[in-house]
Amino acid sequence: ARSSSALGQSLTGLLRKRRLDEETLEELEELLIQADLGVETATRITGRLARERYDKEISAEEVRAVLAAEVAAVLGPVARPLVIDPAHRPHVILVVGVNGSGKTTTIGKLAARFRREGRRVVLGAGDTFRAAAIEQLKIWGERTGASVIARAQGSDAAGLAFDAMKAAREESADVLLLDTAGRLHNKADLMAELEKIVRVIRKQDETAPHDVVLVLDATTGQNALNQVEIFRKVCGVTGLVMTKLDGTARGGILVAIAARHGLPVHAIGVGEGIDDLQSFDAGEFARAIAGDTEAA
Amino acid sequence: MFESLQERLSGILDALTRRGALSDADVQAALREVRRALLEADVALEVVRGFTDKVRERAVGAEVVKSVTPGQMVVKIVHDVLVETLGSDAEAIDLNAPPPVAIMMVGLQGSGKTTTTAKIAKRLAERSKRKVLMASLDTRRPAAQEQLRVLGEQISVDTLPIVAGQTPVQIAHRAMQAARLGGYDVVMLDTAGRQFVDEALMAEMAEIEAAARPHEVLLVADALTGQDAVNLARAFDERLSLTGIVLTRLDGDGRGGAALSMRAVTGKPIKLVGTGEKLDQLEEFHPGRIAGRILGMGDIVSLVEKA
Ligand SMILES: Nc1nc2c(ncn2[C@@H]2O[C@H](COP(=O)(O)OP(=O)(O)OP(=O)(O)O)[C@@H](O)[C@H]2O)c(=O)[nH]1
Ligand SMILES: Nc1nc2c(ncn2[C@@H]2O[C@H](COP(=O)(O)OP(=O)(O)OP(=O)(O)O)[C@@H](O)[C@H]2O)c(=O)[nH]1
Ligand SMILES: [Mg+2]
Ligand SMILES: [Mg+2]
Repeated sequence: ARSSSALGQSLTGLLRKRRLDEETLEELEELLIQADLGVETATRITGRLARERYDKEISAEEVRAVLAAEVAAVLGPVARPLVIDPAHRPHVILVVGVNGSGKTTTIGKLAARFRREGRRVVLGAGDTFRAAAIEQLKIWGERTGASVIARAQGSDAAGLAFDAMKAAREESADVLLLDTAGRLHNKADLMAELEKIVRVIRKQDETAPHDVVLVLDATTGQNALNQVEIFRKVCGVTGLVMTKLDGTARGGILVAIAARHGLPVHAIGVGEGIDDLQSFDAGEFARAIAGDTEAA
Repeated sequence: MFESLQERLSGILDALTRRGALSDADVQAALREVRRALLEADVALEVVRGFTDKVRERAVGAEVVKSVTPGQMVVKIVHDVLVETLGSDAEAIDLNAPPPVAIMMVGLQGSGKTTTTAKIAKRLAERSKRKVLMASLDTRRPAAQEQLRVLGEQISVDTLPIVAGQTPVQIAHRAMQAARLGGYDVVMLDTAGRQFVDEALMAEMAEIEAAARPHEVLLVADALTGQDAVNLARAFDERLSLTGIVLTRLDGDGRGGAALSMRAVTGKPIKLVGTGEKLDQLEEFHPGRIAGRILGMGDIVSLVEKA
């Protein structure tokens, strides 16, 4: 993330300090808070740092490295790619998230990746609500050579899920990526609709969906914790993708989420283009948060 | 999971049975909790600092009225300063210019620009009886122009015909031309989402502004935005003559600290808020409501007010 330079600068200000004292720790904590880690997580990480190094001589470079290591220790275990199981035909991936987080775009990017791997991909246009959501997914279908199953706008989303499952099975597709309408997790009716979609999918394949991917926007602050909590409860989220990390958005909330939920982070979005999806590298992400200008 | 500032402060301050004026030490202890509450509500750190300074000035020496606790008193002061900072008076969309009046919508990707464009158009057409034209200048996102066209149909507001291959600046010119010829009162210009570190797109946005000379330039931002709210608001404010902010997704359960952050660094009013995906879910901004949300509290303020 480009934010690293700004954070890098403020960390360089620590260069003059020779001891890891209260003041330095507080500044570090503030750095982490500004990266959206949240007060609790930031305090825990600097607390760990303090236990190990308090009052020891430490250079800015070392502070940076130790801080990055602490963050990476939390994130390391969750950096796990999305794995397609060829035994499933299709491997069903349900994509969920709040409005505008980047679900449809991420589906397009994932479809491109699976197509490059030589897989047969079907996209289900499960956002039957938003204006031109279907057209948007169809364009991604054309771009990636994936077939798109759609109904008219305004139709039942669970019905569409049924159609998409059926078509993908008939086509003997390797992967079905099912798009859904954006929904805020505090809306009970919309969350119930998601439950229904999962039920409909299970009727055709009780092992499906094989992945439920929650797409999070890196610009989001502490509310992302609620998003994970509730989407997980309602539709059994199995992994995360964080988008828009090409901005200065820092996505530090991912550290708090990793600490609390331990859900895999499958990939990150770094732009609007078809190739702008990268695997999640915990070390690199941590270095960017700790202000290493070489990272990202 | 969530503990309101009031509960936290009561732990610290209500132990004090002492009445009379709040001492420096009382306030100091309270402000640590205030800081934490604001940060947890996603108010940007730099804004929190300035804010707590203001609260300190106001609180030290303040008389605690008989019927409330010192904790309640501090919360009331925090609340008041929040409301003042957020902007106490509602400011409406200003159409006071020779027609066609252009309104330009800008913001990050997915913040809600296109939806808000249609919401505002609907409101101006229905409530203010204006003849409105909407134009999508988003040539980047797949089906973005189609999205606005469909929304236009839903609300019976005209949209500029889509011409493939034009640049956003060319579309802006065409929209203004069409509005003049068609006798429109208002032209809504929906632009593509952009990251503020994307220099090419930020420059393009400034070019669009120069071409259309909009009377209102509204930054559309997500109420769920975290610490970066200050940077994004500042970046857009530096490149454009922003006239206001629209906060979307207030129907979520976010604490909405971004509102305070953006208002504080730009000084620009929050003109409207989005409270849902439907096109009539657009409301006036109520600083008191956001303040209460940021603090996560119920009726403490009215309690103190009555006291
Ligand atoms: N800069 C950047 N933009 C992104 C990224 N991912 C998605 N976007 C943009 O974010 C906006 C919203 O993306 P969508 O894919 O439509 O989001 P969505 O979650 O499907 O939205 P809804 O269906 O309306 O809830 C679009 O303008 C995308 O181009 C990313 O990684 N970086
Ligand atoms: N819940 C809720 N959803 C909203 C609100 N405003 C917009 N949305 C939704 O947010 C998503 C993105 O909205 P758009 O209007 O497409 O956002 P945009 O800023 O035009 O996106 P780009 O053009 O891709 O940058 C859609 O799913 C909208 O329905 C709101 O106030 N509340
Ligand atoms: Mg979508
Ligand atoms: Mg748009």
